[in-house]
Amino acid sequence: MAEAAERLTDADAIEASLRDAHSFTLVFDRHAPAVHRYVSSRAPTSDVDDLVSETFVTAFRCRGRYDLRYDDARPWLLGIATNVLRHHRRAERRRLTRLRGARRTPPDPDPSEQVVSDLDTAAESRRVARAVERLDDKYRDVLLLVAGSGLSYDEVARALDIPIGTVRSRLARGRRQLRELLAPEGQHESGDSRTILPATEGSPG
Amino acid sequence: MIDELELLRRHVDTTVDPDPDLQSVRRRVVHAIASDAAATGRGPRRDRRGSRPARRAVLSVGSLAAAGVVASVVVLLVITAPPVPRGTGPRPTAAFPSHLPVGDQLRLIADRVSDQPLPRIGNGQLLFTQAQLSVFASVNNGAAQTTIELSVQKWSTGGGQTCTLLSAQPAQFASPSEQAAWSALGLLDSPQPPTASECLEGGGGSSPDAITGAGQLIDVSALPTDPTALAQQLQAGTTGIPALDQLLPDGAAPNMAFQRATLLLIGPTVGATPQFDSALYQAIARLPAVIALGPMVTHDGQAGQGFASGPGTDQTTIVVDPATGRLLEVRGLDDANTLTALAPHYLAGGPMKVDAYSAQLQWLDPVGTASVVGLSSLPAGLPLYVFATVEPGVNQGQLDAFSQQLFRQYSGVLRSSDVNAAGPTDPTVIASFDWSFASSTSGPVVDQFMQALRASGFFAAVTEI
Repeated sequence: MAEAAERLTDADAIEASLRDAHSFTLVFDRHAPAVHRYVSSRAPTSDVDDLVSETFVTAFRCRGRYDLRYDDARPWLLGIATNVLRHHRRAERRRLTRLRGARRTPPDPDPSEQVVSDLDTAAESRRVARAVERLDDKYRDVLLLVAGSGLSYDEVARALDIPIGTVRSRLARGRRQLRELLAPEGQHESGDSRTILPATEGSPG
Repeated sequence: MIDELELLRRHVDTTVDPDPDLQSVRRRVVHAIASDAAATGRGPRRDRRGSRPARRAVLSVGSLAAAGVVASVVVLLVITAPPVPRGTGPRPTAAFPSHLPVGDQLRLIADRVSDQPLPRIGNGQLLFTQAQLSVFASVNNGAAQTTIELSVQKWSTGGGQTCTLLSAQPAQFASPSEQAAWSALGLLDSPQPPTASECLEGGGGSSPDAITGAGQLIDVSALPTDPTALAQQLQAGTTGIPALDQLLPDGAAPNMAFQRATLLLIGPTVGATPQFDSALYQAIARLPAVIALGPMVTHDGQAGQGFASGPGTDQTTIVVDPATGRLLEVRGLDDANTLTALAPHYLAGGPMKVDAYSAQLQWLDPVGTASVVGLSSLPAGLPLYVFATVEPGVNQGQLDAFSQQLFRQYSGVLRSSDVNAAGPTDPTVIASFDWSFASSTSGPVVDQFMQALRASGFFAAVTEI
């Protein structure tokens, strides 16, 4: 029967859940790892399970508004997760702050090359975490949905309910802001990264 | 030059657990879904015209009262199923013609069922079945609510003796405040102990308890394979099988025949033939007010075809694999004993403030298909049982003397001993005995015990489980 279950699209499962609530668990089983990954990249570990749970419960309660033309519900779920995360911005700040001073589980003592490699990785991760923390929210959303979750521009547009042209412009400006933030001290294009970019966005696509 | 997006990907890869344990999150989401469904009776497109208060079957206080800690506890089992909105079903799967009338759909499944192999239970073998259940429990009219998931495993001999092992997961709460309310009533979050086992001589489905009770191996060999005759017996409650005919304590439900048929699908059963299994689906097609729900997904993601009977919250739903007729899920089935066996395990032993208790059987999923296993497959923790059927003509005095002799000889290992009367026509005549041994009892000791029973000449059949 697993094969039969695979034949159902997310839209099928969501539509079925309108009269058969438990059908929604299929949506959870398919997409919980992706939502967990996305949320984990933006929230403190201690909050991740709560936020993932809140994302799916919110999705379940809003499933009547799901656009059944789309077979894949992942963009929709990641959009909900983005909204849930916005409500937990304080927690997200804590997460990114923690990343600045911490890192992965220490590697095995040998070989020494691995130690060097992990230290490099940790240093890079701290640097990226600092930069991501300072990104504007609207750029961070788009960058992490594209880079961290692998959504296409169309899917990001669906997830955030914005025109695809806005996705493109936010991505371009977000990359530019991230590049500035990652640059070594003294190499910024201007003194304050948050004033680098124009205040207005590109035309909607 | 470093690509910012690639840098972000690497950052996420190195900071995120690639293989998170999502089980606890899943339980919370499933609980929220179940709570929502129980609260609303259906999804966002609820059609309130068809809904009405849930049927409540008042049941025996049973073991709760026996625990001696409750002055007045009413055990209720409330079964609900979401009503069916019209015209909002999911798209039909290509494999099954959901557009056909319900009778044609069921007849199509009946044709396919007749091709399926049936398990045969030989000597020294057991029929093993397993199911997962979710029960939404409410105490003091909603003052405290929780979801409890149960696993029910059954091992049955061909003669109908059945051992049941219930295992319950810790209670799941939608919020810390609900958990606090539960605890404030003197109830435990986790059952102590988390399992309950029982073995009974239940040949022929003599015990009316259906799902969690032992002794429910239903012998269907005497049931008709003519669909019309079978449908009539299911409707009239004249199958001769107590588990079916006495399904509800008050004996009344608008979809009783459909529920009886559902019990036959759940099983476990003996004596079935491909003709009978096919006739069962054809009989369901003949029952009044059965509707097709189209493609459905079980709570654990299996896809099948849904069929239901009963109005509003009294609806019973089955989800079956249309290719094999295998039952995938049941919702809204009346079972007087669901959770009752485990309810005492949630009592903390201290002051308890429970005035009323109700439970909704949210779903039951058979796990896999029934399989034939050896006696060695029984879990180590289960006691060993020996059942013996008394030969006709053996008098009470002979049995009493022999029984006392056995008890003296095996008092060190015997755990319990019980006698069963012949039945309502002559309750003074002993029909069978059962003895249970501690699980640590060695095989040779039990073999010796059984040899003694056979050698006595008092018993027509001696069975171990």
